[in-house]
Amino acid sequence: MNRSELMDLIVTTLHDLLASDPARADVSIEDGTRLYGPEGLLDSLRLVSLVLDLEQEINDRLDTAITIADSRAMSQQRSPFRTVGSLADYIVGLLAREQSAA
Amino acid sequence: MGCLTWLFDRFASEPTRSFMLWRDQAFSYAWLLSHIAEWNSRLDAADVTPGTVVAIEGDYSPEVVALMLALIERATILVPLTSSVEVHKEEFKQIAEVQVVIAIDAEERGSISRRATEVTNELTRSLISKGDPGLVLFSSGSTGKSKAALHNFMGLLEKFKTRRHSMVTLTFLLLDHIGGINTLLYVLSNTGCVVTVQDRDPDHVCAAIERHRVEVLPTSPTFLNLLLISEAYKRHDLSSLKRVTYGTEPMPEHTLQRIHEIMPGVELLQTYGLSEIGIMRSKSRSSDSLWVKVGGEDFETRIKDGTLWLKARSAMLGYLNAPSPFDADGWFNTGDAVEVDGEYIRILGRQSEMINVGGQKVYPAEVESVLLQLPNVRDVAVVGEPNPITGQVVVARFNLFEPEDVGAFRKRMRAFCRDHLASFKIPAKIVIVEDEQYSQRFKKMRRQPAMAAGGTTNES
Repeated sequence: MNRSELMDLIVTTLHDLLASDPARADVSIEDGTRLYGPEGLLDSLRLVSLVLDLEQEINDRLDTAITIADSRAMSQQRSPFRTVGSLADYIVGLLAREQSAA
Repeated sequence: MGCLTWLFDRFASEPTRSFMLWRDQAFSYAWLLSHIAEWNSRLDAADVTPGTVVAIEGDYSPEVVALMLALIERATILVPLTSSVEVHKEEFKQIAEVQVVIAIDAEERGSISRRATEVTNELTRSLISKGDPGLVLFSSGSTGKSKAALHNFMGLLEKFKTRRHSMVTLTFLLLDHIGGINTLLYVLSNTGCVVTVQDRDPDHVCAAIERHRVEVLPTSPTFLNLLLISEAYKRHDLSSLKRVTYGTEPMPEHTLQRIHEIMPGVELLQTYGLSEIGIMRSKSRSSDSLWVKVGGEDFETRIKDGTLWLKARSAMLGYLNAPSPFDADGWFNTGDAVEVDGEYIRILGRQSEMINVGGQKVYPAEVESVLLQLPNVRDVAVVGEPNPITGQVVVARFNLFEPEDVGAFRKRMRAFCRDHLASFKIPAKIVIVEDEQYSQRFKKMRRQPAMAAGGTTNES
């Protein structure tokens, strides 16, 4: 799964999560869209849901066993959960590590 | 005379009445008295003296009941073991320091064997020196190792001396469970009749209710869920039922409402009991209400930090294999989180099963109650899972009727929950499993972690 496929997956998952939120249902999602924090799209619960949904979807599709939110993710100098793009970058890194380990 | 004279007098006054329907055959109180006498001679011959620790191996049957009563009268320490604990039998015998094993086989033949065991446990020894009969019950062990609760049988018997209504009652729980013992003693002390079933699936149970005109069904919320799912109530005439009691686990609100809809004339009563404390008298506010008043003459209750504490005259003496759970004044922490409204309480769930999502409390029962209303959901167990962002997240393990794409299912599950649950209670993660999620006692099992549940996601 390359970065642009991952971006598509994140955008689709985000739209599903936001579908019930009239204020945000039609928001345009780009690389620099903030996920969490000031002007972020998500509250903490939706952020957790996004991460778990992505984990489940990716692991099912690629038969991998990545964990997106763990202590390593939380201790990064710059949080992977800032923007859509930073999350995609972080997952690309996780998948690359998983492949080289296999 | 022994401690059951009052009970045997009641039996003698109703010799022709049936005390039990077993394999569709009726057994009378006269039969029971004569078999108790027979057991007495056999126990004499085998030198089973007062204070002996005796395990009874056998499921619910007329002979097992006769034997139990003979052993109580003889002031022995009873350890009932049924086939539902088959794998633990040897371990349980060691914990209880069983000296004599009496097995009743499927043909109702009894065999007595001895074990070379000395009673060393201080609690058991002090009960024996008092000359009172005892009862050892094992907790279901959902939290890990089973704990053995030792009761003085005299305390358990006391409340049954007051006469109450006798009704035809179906037994659901077995005799190694405080609820099963309670039902049996209630029925016998009022010279009523117990109806036993070989198979506890909803259709067999409903067929027995119809055939024997059963009036009381003591059961669990999980069984009532299975009854709704199977629609067995549509295939059998349940009009004889007057009362359904439920306990052992929190009742999902919507299950209670549905049961009330399909049997509007039946009184639905919540019971409350623990192997450590016994069964309390209880009164539901109404048939469709989860609010319940518990207590009775022999119990005191208090709420501390949202948790129910009890003090009972008939409480166990202690655990045989764990430290005493009572505080200095004899109060017992039930571990059940409750809400209070005047005299009534509402049980939210086990404190230990509470899920903490970013500091907010979630009780599995409430979430399960909502999720069970989703189309295509057969059963669901809600558990917590560690998460670095919110501490824990809510995970729901589903059994579905028909296979469904996990992504599509998740989407409609969330859409449905948004109208029915606070956002922090909505499952963040779902797993679809194949295995049943209730125990042999028809109690929901939440303990196994989601990963170990044989979980499969249906995604292609």
